[in-house]
Amino acid sequence: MPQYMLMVTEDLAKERERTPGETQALIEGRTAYEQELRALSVFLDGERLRPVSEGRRVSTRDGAARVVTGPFAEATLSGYYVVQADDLDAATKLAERCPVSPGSALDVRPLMKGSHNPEKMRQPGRVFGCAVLGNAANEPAWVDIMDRVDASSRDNFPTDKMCGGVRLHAPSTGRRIAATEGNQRAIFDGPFLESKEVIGGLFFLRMQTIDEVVAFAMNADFVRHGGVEIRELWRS
Amino acid sequence: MEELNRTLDAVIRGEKARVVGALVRVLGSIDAAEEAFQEALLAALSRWPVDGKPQNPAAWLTTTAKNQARDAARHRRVMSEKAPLLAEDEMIQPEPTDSVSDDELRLIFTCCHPVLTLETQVALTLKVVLGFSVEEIARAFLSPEKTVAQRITRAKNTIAESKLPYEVPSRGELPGRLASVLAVVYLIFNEGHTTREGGLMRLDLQAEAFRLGRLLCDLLPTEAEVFGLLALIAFSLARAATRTNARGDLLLLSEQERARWDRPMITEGLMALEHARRCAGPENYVLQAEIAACHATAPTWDGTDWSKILRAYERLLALHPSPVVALNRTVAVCMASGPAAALTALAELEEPLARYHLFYAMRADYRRKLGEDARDDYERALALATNDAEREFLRRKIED
Repeated sequence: MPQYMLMVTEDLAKERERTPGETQALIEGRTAYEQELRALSVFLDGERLRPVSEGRRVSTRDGAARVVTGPFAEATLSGYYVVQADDLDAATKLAERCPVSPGSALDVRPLMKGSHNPEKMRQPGRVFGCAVLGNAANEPAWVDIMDRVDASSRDNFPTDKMCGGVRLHAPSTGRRIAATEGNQRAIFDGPFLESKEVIGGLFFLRMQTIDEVVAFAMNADFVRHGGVEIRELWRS
Repeated sequence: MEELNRTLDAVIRGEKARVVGALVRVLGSIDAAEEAFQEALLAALSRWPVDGKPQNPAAWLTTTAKNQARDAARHRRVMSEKAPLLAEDEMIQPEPTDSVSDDELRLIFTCCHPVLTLETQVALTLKVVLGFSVEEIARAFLSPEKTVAQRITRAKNTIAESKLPYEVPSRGELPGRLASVLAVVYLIFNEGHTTREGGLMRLDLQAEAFRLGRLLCDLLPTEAEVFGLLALIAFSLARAATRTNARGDLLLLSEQERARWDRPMITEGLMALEHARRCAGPENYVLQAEIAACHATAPTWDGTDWSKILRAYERLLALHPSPVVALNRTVAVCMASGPAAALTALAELEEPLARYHLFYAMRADYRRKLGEDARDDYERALALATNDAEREFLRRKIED
């Protein structure tokens, strides 16, 4: 069965306004949602990401790798799910049931390839999610970037520290569900290249500190082609 | 230089446990490990300004400390053939490839070993695991430096003499040993929350307890109680800034300015609690955290979910009967069913809590709510209280 990634993107300003009661409702709602996905036997993986203010972005500018500390200007990932579904419509239906706060968006993207480790947070140690980002004027150029990242990341990967990773199909193959005030949902088809950095994949590393992940990314060949946003996973 | 000091400080605070934990395994004693760590810090101070800061400071310090220790061991061996030898090849082995080593856990469990007194466990944990200096520990616990230093030396001797195995307890032993570790974290947190004498809070101790709690969560990710305690600490930290007014007077939860509670810290608590709920069984800290979460997420004191709090207290009392917990429960009884019901619930607690100032303070509150004159109870509470801020609070109550 085809696999899809559901990515929750949060509006930082809105998130700051959220009351503790609303946060609690959201956290409990997400747990219930995950249980629902598990009950339907469609759940493959899913985690929440720690605050973007703790995150780092590593990218190449003028030939040199540079690091930026969060929060970043654009809206960023706050969580994800990987599900199996018959087709994009079925995946979108599952995504629509995910509780999100107003101002958030849910991107549904088909998986090209990858492996899942849904137990990664039940083992000791900190796990960092690395979102591979590409910035291009059009989709063929973006796909080209991701191909080059893919090719250059086969070797020199710290495989002993890997706990799963996936590559996504191009944005034009996906959907976006935008949550507006009053819990209204609006659904759009891809492409979504209007945002500066578009995510092309996500992989996970179990490492001691975020600095260790940054050091790996700074020296990784693939950062020459795109960028990577590093975010610690939350235990919840 | 300032940046260098900041980096070193961050490493000491953040990663000392891992470096020292690895060194104890190799060198066989906490003392030798700490000495090697200090040597490595000195080396960093002279080498980093010249060579530049290494990409992974903790790894650099570990390797340097091991090399220093190996050189020292060689030196000792030359000096005396009879000196106990260190397994040299073990020392130069590369870092274990798995990024999750048990070194920190071994170190924490050793520092919190029940063979030591609780006070000693706390001092040793602050020193060895959290990187406090003897002076800082003395300041935090209002004890003379000499006393703290002696306590730590004695602890290290006890560990050496009892030949405590340097290991993570087995599955069967874990609950008991973990309870002892969590008691230390709770004590560090609580000491920061309300000191026995003098001022009210020491935020840095609470922050350290939070850091240690997070570390334990990463090391023992399926133990509900570790996450329960972390949540409890987070909810308390979130309210820290609103616990007193501008004059330093103690404010009750019902009087605190909720808009100023630290929301990201409340989210930390809620996430930890959610994780604890997914692990097996409600336990002591998890249930306490459930109660704290009701307060942290309530829009107002009156708008708090008192029936949920009452249910949590009942489960807590069924697990661990305690008069102090029963006393706290009466607050929820008062809010849910009124002061008369709270006084009825209090009646059976007078005997076990006859020397506890909060018993009289709370009874006074309920009596006053019923329109009675409760000055005698407030005065009894004042006579028993030792914390300055609490005494001031009770004095205000008597004047009201």
